[in-house]
Amino acid sequence: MKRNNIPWQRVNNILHRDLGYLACALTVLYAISGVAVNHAGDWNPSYSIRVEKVSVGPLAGPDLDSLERQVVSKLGLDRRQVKGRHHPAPGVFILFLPEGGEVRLDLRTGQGEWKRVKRRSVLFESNVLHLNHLKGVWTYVADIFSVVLLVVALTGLFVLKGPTGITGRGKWLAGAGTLLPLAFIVYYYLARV
Amino acid sequence: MRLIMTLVLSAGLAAAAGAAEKAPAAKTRQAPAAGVKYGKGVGAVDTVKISELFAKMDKYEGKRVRVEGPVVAVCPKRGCWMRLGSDKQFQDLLFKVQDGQIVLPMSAQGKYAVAEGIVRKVTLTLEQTVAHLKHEAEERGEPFDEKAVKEPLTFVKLEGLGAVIREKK
Repeated sequence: MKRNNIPWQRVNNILHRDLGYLACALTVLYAISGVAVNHAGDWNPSYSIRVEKVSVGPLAGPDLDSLERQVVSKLGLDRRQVKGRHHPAPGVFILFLPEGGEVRLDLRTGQGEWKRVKRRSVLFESNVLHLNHLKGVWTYVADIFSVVLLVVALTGLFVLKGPTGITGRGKWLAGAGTLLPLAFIVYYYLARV
Repeated sequence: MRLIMTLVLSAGLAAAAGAAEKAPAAKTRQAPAAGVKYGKGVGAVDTVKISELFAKMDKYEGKRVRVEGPVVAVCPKRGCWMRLGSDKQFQDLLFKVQDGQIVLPMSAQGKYAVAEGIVRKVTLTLEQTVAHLKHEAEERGEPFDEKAVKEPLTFVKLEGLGAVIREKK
């Protein structure tokens, strides 16, 4: 296409190529995060949480400091790892560990659970960006990225000409890609409303 | 490869940081609100003891207040709530935001928070109480015994506007 000496085809393809390079890393990151959070009903996409039963024997002491010392000693914890403690109900004692981990014990029996929490590396960071935990400036960066993706998608329709372009097999593939989500939208209204 | 990707992403995070900024100490007669800011942070509203909110629910209903306390629990799924330990034993206050409005990290548990929000009094039926407590237990991955619930709950919660969280009081 060439109107008024502006090589639109060339501009289109350059935009598609260069914005595609620019958007590649974040698209990959959003795709990984997208799959992870899409299954948030089945797992925690940001944290790995492992719970094991523990038993330290009955606990008694004049105060929370004493209880904390006993639990740290009996479980062989590093004191520096202890973030705090809590006594939420009579007979319940909780020791806070890094990253949301905790040891929760029944004071009478000394039995309870040790919850170990660990960030899922790469996934945690991906989710922070994809789900916009940061807010602020990142909100606008993400908006710009959305516009970039939109331009990449639209320019992609016109990169090729001829039988493999949008007027050829392209129209069938683009049509199928549009019909699939539409079909699910129709299903949503028919089956749920 | 994983380490490199993690480092690159972390560097990107640090460069793009917006709302999670260090808040300067507030120049008020209250304790300085230094720490990591979430949401709108905290303003110059008067600090109210959590026990007083529970004792005088009707007085504080609908009012904007500032509270502080240790963070004793954080939502592990969407970071949309945290509980602050009260000055009164066996009592804590729910600080709740809409999903995504503020995302509290699990690492906040065990730290100290200054939080601001609108007080809401919540009165549940017995059935609603069971459902509420069951949902909270599920979110925390803890067992729940329906039969142990004998009375309906009335409590206050904070419709969260912002918070500042730091390591210690």
